[in-house]
Amino acid sequence: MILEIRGLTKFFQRLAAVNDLNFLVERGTIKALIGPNGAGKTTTFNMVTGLLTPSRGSVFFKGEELTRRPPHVRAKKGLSRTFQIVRPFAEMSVLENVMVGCDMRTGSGLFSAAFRLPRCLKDERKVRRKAMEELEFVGLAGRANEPATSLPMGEQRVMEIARALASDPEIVLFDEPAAGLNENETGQLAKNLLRIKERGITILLVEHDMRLVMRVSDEVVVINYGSLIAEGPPSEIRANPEVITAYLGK
Amino acid sequence: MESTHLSQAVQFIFAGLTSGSIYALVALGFNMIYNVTLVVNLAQGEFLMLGAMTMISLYSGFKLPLPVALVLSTLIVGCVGILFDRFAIRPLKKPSIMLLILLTLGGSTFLKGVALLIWGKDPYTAPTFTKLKSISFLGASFSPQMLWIIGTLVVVSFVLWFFFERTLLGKAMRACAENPRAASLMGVNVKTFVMISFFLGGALGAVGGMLMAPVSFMVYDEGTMMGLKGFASAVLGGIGSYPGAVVGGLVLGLLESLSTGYVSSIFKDILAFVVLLLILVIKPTGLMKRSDE
Amino acid sequence: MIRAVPYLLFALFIYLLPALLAGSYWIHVLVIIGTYVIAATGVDLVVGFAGQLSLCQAAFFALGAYASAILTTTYHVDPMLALIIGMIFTGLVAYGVGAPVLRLKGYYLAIATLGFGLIIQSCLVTFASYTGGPDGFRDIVPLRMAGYIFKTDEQYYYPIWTVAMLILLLTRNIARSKVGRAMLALRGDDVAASAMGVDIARYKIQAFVLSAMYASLAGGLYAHSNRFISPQMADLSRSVEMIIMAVLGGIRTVFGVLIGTTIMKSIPEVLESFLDYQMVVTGAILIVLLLYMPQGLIGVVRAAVARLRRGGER
Repeated sequence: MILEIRGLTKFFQRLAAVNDLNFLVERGTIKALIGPNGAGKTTTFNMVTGLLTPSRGSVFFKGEELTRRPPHVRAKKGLSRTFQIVRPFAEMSVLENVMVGCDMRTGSGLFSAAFRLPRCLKDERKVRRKAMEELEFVGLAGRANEPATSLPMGEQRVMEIARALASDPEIVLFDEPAAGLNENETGQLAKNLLRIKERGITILLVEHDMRLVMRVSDEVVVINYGSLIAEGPPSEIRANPEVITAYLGK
Repeated sequence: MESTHLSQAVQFIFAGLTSGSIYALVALGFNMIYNVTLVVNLAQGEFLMLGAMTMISLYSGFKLPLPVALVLSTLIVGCVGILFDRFAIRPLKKPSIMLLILLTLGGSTFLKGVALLIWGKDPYTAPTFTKLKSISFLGASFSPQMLWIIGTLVVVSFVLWFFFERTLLGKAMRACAENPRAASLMGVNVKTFVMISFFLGGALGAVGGMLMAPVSFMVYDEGTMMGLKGFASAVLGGIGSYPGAVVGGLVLGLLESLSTGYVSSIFKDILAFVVLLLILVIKPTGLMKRSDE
Repeated sequence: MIRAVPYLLFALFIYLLPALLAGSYWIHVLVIIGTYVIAATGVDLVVGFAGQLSLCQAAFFALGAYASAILTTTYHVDPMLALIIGMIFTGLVAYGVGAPVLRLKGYYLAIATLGFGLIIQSCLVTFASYTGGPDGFRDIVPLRMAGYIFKTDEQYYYPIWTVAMLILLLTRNIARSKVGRAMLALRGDDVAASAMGVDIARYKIQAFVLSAMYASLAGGLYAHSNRFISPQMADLSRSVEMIIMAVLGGIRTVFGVLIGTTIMKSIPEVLESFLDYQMVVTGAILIVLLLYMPQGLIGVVRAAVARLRRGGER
């Protein structure tokens, strides 16, 4: 198991947004986390990536507890992510944005940068090459030198995927990657998700678009009111009466 | 022996409450603007200086009766507040905290510069509001101006509390800061509210300055330090909290006068900022606010 | 290589300038500009790149100046060594303050650094037996290198501008590396930066400490070349002035810092009767700059060029 969520709980002013949530993510699979609006998906997501500290429970990554470690430490351990509302780095080109994703894999620091020591120049070349590779992988190489914020929203999302992949992560968490995409772009996204899986990278997907979830996921977790209500392969989930009730409301 | 100790302590405490009340008034002005616009106005101290200087000019220069000079100065500085917003803040297209801080700092420098051109570098003072010599209490003596200062703080804080907690207009103005879009959708005129808040912020600053003028000397750059200490008080009490501003100001004033009296005057000007730094690092939400989860 | 041409031309220009201005008062002004370029480059790094509004850069400048003055004049330490000790000392102070304070954001960070600056200024006034108090520190030992004593502005011009250009070069290198990217990323969006593995606390501290050391170096050089310093140089208004220097020309650009600093330090010289108007003008410049040209003069020129080109294509 690459990721283990154990008894995860988060209170906001005594209200449990997430309540005693348990699930596992198997290495090399695509797991989707779904649920109606306000079910606690984003809260869960933020606790896994380190933006929020859980009130109770723990997050294990590759058997190591990361519950209280800051986001950048999790990133270094191989846990990367994209954002629901795109968050490109302003004043930087697309390529530089992706390079930031890769930078933590190099060792040279302030001193060698200031004097442009060979170590730094070598790292720069390596990072640039890696970033270009990832841009090619997602099909955005042609835009490499444009300012990131000048890209249309759909392409900014694609850039975020490259940025997340640039650190050679073992798991990538996608926060509603299809939100705001048209049908064509969603199709492309589904292909990309499967290609990322082919590279042996595990995916945890929080998504609204049921068709996308059913198409790419190996397993689905459904939560409602902060608690798990079903878990299993897409075909099972689709037929689960409790899930249907949760979605249709009663 | 006992009684001199007591009278000394009383003297220090009253001195602390006096300067603390001024800090509190500045802090109230800060919060006034912050609560409606989310702008921390680092030129608040300059409003105070302008209030004092304008009042002195109107009273001693133009020989206007004191009440008229007081009211007129309050209105004038209130209008300076409106102009400040109109020309230094509102044109900002994409507000960011960094830009706002630098803008209000620029405004502060500009107002100081204007005051330098009008009043020069000379210190000015004003007569006390009442013609009593001095008041004795438990062996300590102090200027009657102190009663004006403390009394005004009490009245101003009550009026502010009443306005923002009990009147519809006040509540609407608060909603404006919390969610400007929702407020404007509900038919609230955000621009007018921002204008009112800058007017009141300027007026409050002026009141503090005018109260202070008879008990100290006012110079064109005197406002900066007062503004920063007032800001320290606001942070001490929790930015945005009116009771916090009063408590923060009084605590700071007392700390200053007691440390000057019993330890050393070296620390007087540093103390406020040491306290400020400690509060910021340990509990940025201030003494009076519960930190949210 | 071609990209280096403007920089080389600029260096050549700087080295030839004294020959053109021989004996002129402007050499003195240029020496001052050179020292402030060093400090403003630090501001550019911490404010422009890392996005941390530090309002105590003048205090670091003063710390460097006083460290150098006290060490050399009171304790007869070699000036070069004193400059280095001053930088290390200021760097340590910046680290000590920055570690807790840089966790703060926005208003709180600005106010904390502002408060720290005031504390330093007060200390300089208070500990008069070391610092000379409010009247300042007089008759500072001049700079001395391998037996050669620097006295005139002409003699200070070359070492100070060499150091200034070196600092600009090193900072440009840092800006174009992983470190610069990390700082820009955390400035733009610290949440996203952190999620992408950027240790934001570390890069904030790096920018802050480095900028403090630049300011300290500038202060030390100023102390020796000017031979008189006062607590006034730690004032908040000077920190604000340094920020204008970094922003006026064009933030995050080498030539922007040079242009901004040159303008800010030349204005009072151009109009000598300007002294009383200095505050009004400084305040007005800051307001107009931030409201109407946040990208600085270079930004205005670039936008105009872009508009012309677009017009030409049509």
